[in-house]
Amino acid sequence: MSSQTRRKERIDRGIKVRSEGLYALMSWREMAYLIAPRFILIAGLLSLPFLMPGMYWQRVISIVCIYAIVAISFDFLAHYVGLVCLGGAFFIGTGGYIAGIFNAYFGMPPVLTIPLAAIAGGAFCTLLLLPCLPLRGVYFAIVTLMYPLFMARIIEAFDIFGGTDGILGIDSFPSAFVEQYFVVGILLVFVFGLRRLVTTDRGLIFTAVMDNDQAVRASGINITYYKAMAVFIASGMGCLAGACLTHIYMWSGISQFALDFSILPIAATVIGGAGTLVGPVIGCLILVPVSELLRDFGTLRIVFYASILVAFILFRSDGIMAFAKRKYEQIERWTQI
Amino acid sequence: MVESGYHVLIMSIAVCIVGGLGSWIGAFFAAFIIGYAQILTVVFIGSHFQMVVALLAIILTLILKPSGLFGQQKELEDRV
Repeated sequence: MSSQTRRKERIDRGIKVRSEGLYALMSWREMAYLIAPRFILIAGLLSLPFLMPGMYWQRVISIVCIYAIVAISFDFLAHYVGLVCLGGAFFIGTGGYIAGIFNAYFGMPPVLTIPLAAIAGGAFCTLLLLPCLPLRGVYFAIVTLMYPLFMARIIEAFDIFGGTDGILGIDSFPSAFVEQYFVVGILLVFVFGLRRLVTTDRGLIFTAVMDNDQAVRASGINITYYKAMAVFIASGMGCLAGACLTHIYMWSGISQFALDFSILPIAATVIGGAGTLVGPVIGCLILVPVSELLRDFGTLRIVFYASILVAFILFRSDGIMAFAKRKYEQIERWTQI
Repeated sequence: MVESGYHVLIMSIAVCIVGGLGSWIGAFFAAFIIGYAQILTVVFIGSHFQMVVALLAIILTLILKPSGLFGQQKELEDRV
């Protein structure tokens, strides 16, 4: 017998229940309740370039958005299609190199190279990952973790595309303003686009592939086709982020295949809340600036960074988004048993 | 970034995967295979390709025969 005499009970707020379904349209208050979280996200992201002091922190905003795009692509693949893909660095590197090659060697402007890198890079990544798609779980994760290392070694060994120096002399965005609003806009389009996508029929098949792929196959649906489509969407997003990164740094090199781009998005997803698609964005908004702030500590930076991560995983293992959603939708009170 | 740790990590992952996860006899033979493959590559092709061999071994094994040489988990072999 436990000695507990009271427990916490959670009840949905009245306004949350009232604003479900079509009836929300009947009152301004309920519509505001539904719109407020989305409005805060959009307005907050759009106003970030104004709020940040100085060039340095404005550049951090662009980097945050690039990590966030990779993180939502990871979240989409892992929690809506069931492919745990550690290949964030592979997507970033492929997109970055394609943008760099077309800009530096063929003289295309960033307006052309970024969409081209997204589509060609997505096709390239999907083609390379196509033989691995039947693999499940940790095996797919290992293959996707090895691809970026492999690409970096290939470029280094064959000394192609500038070898270890990378491709230099790539055009930048016209101005810092354009750069920040471009990545913020792309991020918002991807977040809301993916949220829309996972509720369509196609998204239903993706979720079904995650839950039970044999049942989907028994229904006469080609699993590999849908998995490849999901990988194309996610890798296209990653490659677009990589192309933006190349144009921001005016350089593309082997360090774009570094494991940071695979690991940090996953940490952000864990902190922000897995399977929510907005959580990774919030996770990146916390993790990347914290990582920049800790630069003052020098070598101890990694220690503090790792402690923050461990603390999050211990005390908020379900993520910030799940916590915030609970607070927003439910009231909590103690009751006697 | 410290690169030396990754070198050992990748080599050991390569040996485990080629030998088959969960099989230490496989790890024994795969260690010889990966080791000789690396040395032969360095001698005949070039020292730049040393890590390429290990990474290529991981990728090709997982694509062609995910359970490895002596792996017990045959359920990995069924193609979805």
